[in-house]
Amino acid sequence: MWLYIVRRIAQSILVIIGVTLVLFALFYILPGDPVRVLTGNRHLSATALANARHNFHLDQPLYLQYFYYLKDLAQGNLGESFRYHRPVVDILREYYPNSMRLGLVAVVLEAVIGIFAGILAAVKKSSFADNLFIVATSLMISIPVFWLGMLLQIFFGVKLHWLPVSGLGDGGWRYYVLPALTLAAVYAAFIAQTTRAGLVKVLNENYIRTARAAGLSEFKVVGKYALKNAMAPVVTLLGLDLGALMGGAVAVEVIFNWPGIGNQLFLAIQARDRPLVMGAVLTLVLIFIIVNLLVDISYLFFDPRLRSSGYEL
Amino acid sequence: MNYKLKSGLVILLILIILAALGPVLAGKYWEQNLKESLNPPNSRHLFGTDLLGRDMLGRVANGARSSLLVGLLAVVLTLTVGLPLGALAGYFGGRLDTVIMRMADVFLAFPLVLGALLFMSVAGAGFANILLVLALLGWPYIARIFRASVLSNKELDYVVAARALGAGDWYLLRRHIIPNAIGPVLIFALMNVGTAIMAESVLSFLGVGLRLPNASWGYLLSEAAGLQNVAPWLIYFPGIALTVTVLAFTLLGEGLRVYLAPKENNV
Repeated sequence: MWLYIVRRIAQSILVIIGVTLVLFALFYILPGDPVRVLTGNRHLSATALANARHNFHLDQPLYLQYFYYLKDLAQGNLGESFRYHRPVVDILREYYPNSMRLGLVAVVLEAVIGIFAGILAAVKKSSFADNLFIVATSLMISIPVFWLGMLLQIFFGVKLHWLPVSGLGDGGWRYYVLPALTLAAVYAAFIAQTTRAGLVKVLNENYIRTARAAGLSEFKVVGKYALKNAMAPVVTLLGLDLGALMGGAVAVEVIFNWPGIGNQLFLAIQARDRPLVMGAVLTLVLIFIIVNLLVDISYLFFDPRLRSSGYEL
Repeated sequence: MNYKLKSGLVILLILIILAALGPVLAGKYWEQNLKESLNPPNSRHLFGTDLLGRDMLGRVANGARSSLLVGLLAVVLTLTVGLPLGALAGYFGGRLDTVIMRMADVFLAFPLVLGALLFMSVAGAGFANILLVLALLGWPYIARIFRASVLSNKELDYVVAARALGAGDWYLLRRHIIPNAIGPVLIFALMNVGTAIMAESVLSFLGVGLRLPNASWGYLLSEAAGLQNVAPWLIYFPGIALTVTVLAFTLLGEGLRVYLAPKENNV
């Protein structure tokens, strides 16, 4: 088991190095002289340009430049934003908490709605409600998230005036409702489908028949014995979504004008604020990789059978 | 045929007809008429008009072209890259396998929309770029599935027998392994058409996807952003078209999976 964990961590580190290589390459593929971009396209003398080139290590061979880039990363230095003239790290620190709070609310919502709906459908398998469930979840996962957000804005904001449709205001819960619902909707459908599929399978197993034969109530059979064994893939999905929500939420944050990292990334792309784009993407991808790693390792704790079996990829 | 496969096929057929004939039937949808700016749906303009007085029915019908083309071509390109790499990694194994799959891991580390957003911001909006970026981020999924499929096929008795009879690597791959391993990955690819269309719409909505004259549904929605309280019909129709299209490919994929392996998937 420990061998597996170590190997999985080593693999993640390799991937992270690969990601920095891709980002570094993108930085240099971008059109235009990096010095011109870094100095904001001002008119500079040849000496000043040469100085800047030297300061940013741009007169060095590429592999050394990459090395300097890695060194900066290791020291937590992501450069300075062109637009804000502040360190990228400070900007990220300011906006990440808002995205994380929104992401957490969304994950809790989708877990509650998804698992509950999935259990109901599995228990009433092949009923009218179950068929309705299958149609509804298929439809739900086909709806573009940002469009759903716009619809919710029209109905609950513009028509009914129930909820605010933009920004975080005073930070009250009302501001969270629409963006969180938007983010949660699609994954709630995925989770509901996964819960149902897992539960239907488990409910056919012998030990469930035994439990029923022993006279346990259906509530106890499902709640205490079946659900536990059907939950592993659901937990995986939830974990992965928490990672994806941080980045996949760009369009939703833009629509709701949410002061989060996705919205900042969008604005930075529009303003060609290269350091901020790189910093935001790198951190988002890092979160995604780490969450993936944790989810994989968590299998070992959910399913003890895997521990002794030399669990491999 | 099950109902999912049937309904998916029917919807797709309607969409293809719409994409092929829509621009013809809908008249001069690109003509601006500022006197008719932001008319709600009425008998002359069933889907209403946009800010510049253009007929939305025509624009939505025309959007089917861009969206379907991007989805289908992106998946074809993804398969073109992913299938050979997956087959090589699975069949030959060893160092080649390691190099290909570690490369795949790096691109898998980018969540689709986030990665596409990044690459498109570097490459610039446009039809060809969006295909390339979706293929760049999509090939690892195809390669992974196909590799696993090839791996499990290459040890089967009939392959071993063919090898014993003197068949070479390329012959085995071409005649025996690939035809038998390609089923699951094609189903996955079919469902991915919907994913690609969805990704294109998000990118176009954020301004780094398609540009005019390729006014896809995502592009139409980006024009409508901010007009939620004035002209909600500009938002309803492109979004409905998008949802129905993605649904069609989801249904097709799921239906085909059940159709091809009814015992395993009949849950």
